Amino acid sequence: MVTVIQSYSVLVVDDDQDIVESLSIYLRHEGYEVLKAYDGLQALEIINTKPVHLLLMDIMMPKLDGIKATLKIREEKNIPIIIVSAKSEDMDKIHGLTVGADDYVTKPFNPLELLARVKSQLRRYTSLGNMDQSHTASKIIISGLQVDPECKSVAVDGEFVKLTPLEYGILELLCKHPNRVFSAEEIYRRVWNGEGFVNDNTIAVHVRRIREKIEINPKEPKYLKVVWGVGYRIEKN
Amino acid sequence: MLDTELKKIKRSPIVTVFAFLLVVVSFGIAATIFANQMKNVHNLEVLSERDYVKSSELSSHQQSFLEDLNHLLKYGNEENIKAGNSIDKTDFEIRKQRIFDDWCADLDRRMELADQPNDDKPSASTVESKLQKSQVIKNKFEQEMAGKLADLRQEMVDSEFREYRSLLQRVSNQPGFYYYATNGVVTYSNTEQRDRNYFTGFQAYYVVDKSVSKIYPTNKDNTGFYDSAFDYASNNTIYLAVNDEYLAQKQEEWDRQYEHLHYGMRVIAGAVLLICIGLLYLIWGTGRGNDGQTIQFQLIDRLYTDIALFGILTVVFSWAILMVQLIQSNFLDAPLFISDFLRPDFLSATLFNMISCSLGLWLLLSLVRRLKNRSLLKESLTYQAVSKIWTMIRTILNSGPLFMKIAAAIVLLVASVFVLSALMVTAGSRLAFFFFLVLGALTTFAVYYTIYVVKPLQVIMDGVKIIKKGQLDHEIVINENSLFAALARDVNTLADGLKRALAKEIKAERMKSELVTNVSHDLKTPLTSIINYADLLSKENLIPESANEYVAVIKKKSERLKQMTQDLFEISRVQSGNITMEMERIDMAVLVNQSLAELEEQIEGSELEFKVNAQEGQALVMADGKRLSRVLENLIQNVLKYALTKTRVYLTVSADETYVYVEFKNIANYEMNFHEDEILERFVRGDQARTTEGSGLGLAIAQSNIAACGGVLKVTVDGDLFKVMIKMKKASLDGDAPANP
Repeated sequence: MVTVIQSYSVLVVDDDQDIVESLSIYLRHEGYEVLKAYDGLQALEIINTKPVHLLLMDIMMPKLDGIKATLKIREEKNIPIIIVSAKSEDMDKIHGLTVGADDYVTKPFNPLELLARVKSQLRRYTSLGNMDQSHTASKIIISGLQVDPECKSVAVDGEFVKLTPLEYGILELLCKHPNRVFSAEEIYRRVWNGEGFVNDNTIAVHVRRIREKIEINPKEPKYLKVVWGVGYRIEKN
Repeated sequence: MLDTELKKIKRSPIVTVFAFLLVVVSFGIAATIFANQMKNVHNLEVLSERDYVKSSELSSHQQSFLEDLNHLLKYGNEENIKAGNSIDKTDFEIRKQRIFDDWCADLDRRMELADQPNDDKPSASTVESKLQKSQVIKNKFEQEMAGKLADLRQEMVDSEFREYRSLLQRVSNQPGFYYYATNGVVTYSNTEQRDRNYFTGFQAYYVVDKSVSKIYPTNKDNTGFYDSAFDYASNNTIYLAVNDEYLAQKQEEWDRQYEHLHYGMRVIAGAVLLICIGLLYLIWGTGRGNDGQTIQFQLIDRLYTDIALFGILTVVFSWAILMVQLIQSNFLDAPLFISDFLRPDFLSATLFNMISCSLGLWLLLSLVRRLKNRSLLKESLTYQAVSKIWTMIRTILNSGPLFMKIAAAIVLLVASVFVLSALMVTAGSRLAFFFFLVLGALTTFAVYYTIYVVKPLQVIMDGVKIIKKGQLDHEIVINENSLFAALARDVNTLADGLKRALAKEIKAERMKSELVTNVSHDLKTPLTSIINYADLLSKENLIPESANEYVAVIKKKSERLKQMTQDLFEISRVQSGNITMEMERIDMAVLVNQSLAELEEQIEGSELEFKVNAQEGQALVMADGKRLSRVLENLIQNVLKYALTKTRVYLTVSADETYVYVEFKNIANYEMNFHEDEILERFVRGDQARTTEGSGLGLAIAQSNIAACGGVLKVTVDGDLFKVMIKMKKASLDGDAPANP
């Protein structure tokens, strides 16, 4: 149980001033301190001189692009970096995440979603790292997702999420076997304990609801992934 | 300057005409003089021996006279000839034998005819009887042919007699000799003198008797002549001497001949020199233009070279024949000098020569001009005919249709074989072998040539195969002269064009893809600001109140713009094939259920009744799940948007042996006045729907994605029934259930 008591500083890097400005407004609304940079070199300068807790980084910028700047920063620091780019292809996303970014948001973005991701990253960066190890013994931790079979509770980035018993049952099953794909029928058998499986989208609807509760963007889930045409799985790196 | 002036003068037409006339006139005079010389100078010895007495002409004259006298002595007198004593015995025997042979042949023929009935007669004959028989035959011949032999003898005697008479005539009529010839029996003489010293007292004499054989003046050149020229009986005595008046007269003539020859030679030499100079100038100058370079032509130069050449030969031959005639006639008897040019015979002969020369020279200069222009050969009829035939052959061989060439080759081959076979049959056995060799060589050549001709075809076939496999830059290289060179060139051009078209298409596709990427980026950046600030504005309380509504509109439309941009981008990428597909085994029924679950709330909220029939575990396909989910989402959203409220929507997943089908059926909430195919085109929608939300790309994206996964999406409109059918190839069932990790 952690709350934001400290004022974090977020560095917004983009060559479009209006975007930087609008992002600043959103972030200040949420109580963050905002630093601004308009290219990769400026960003590196600010990082070296001032305390920065998170970066919002554009890719296509003059002088030093976002990918190279990320690589430079990752040489010394592990502060969260969220890439905010107009490049929306899968290859671009994979590339960005590979060079060390923690998240990837495509323009035009939903401001609320972006804020949620900022919040999530900051929480993980600041509080989760300090979490007491003893509490974690029986818990299933997958990145920012914590499932506690003892309390039957689920927390995402330290915030508790309310799930129905069936939803919890499904999530627990999936989390106990991360990366394994479960078909709807199997989930039904294991969670409903094998009473006559009805061939409809009941399970699918349940899973969607879980996603809506634990994911920032249910369309692009981070934890509970839909394996289209096959089933579902929890992704763990 | 001076030099060019000089050259101009040298090439002026007057000089040319002058040179031409010089050659012609010189030739006319020289030829006439020459003809005159031929008639008036009998012996070129006049040049080497000025003294007639010492000339070999006199010696041979003496000699022939001596021979005549000797002959007379041999004949004796008329009685002697009539007695048959002078007849050549050998000659007589030969002629007699000939008659005998004829007689024998005649006899044999007669005998054969007579002997045929009784064959036993010849069987008794022996070698001895044969000898006897020949003797008998000879006697019989002498008897039978006595008359004929007497005739022969008389004939020969008559001939001898005629000869004797003419000889006697010649000897007695000669003007210049004193002679005395005797063999003791007969004597011929035109002088009373019998003394040898009388004869040797003359300037020129010839004496032959028992003690001496002497000719004076002796000519060293024909000493041998006297030893072997004739045989004379040892009792012959012949004295002859040339009389002095005759000698003086001859000497005078001899001197005149010398004078005339000398004069003629000088004239001819001079004329030849002038001809040479004129000819050289004409040859050098002919055809040259004023600039000294170009070759100018005259009308005569259009004549074919060989005809011109023939013309020259004709002129030369007719001239030569006429000249010989002239020399043989007594037309130019009198000695000629230049000063006699007004003499009609001289004038006419010279004119004739000049005309001949003009014609010849005219033609010759034409040939020279051709030679200068290097067109001597080219303009000949022979050359043109040969080259035309050659061109024809080449045309047949090179440019005609292939079957023509093949036909021509076969005809040629067959004809050669026929000719050679015919020759083999007619020729002797030794020659037949030679023709057999030629035939063998011809066959070998034909086989070799066929292989040689067909080989490029193989190369072309291989090349086409390589090009077909996709190696478009492969170039077929064959001999330029080959029959198939044109085909190879065409194939190369074809491959080249294909390559260019392909490269162009690839480039265009890449450019399109880049354009989409760039435009998309350039659209997204300002859109981000619009969305952000519209969102910020919507959180403010604006004055006046209506401003809040305006902001709400901006926000809504900016969201739509965002959706459209994304859709546009996606369809461009999918349609350009610039995407990576992650193919895996997918259960279509599961996918449908998952997709329905994604939109469950909207479905619940709509007033539609979804009738879903998706039996899991039957409809397996190989596809990219994420893309298929986009397809189904789009289709369901399409249904939610355009299905008539309070109607049923049917969604069926089925499969047969080879295909999996997904079918959507709904009742449209507007009149679908478009063509089935149009709806799949980008941006095409029913007019009524234009104002509603959505990019209008939903179905197009769905179709593109299905196509990318190897399936077919088909839209059917039947009144208000809107039907979408997805057809995909069924994946095999092998392997474990895909649910296992």
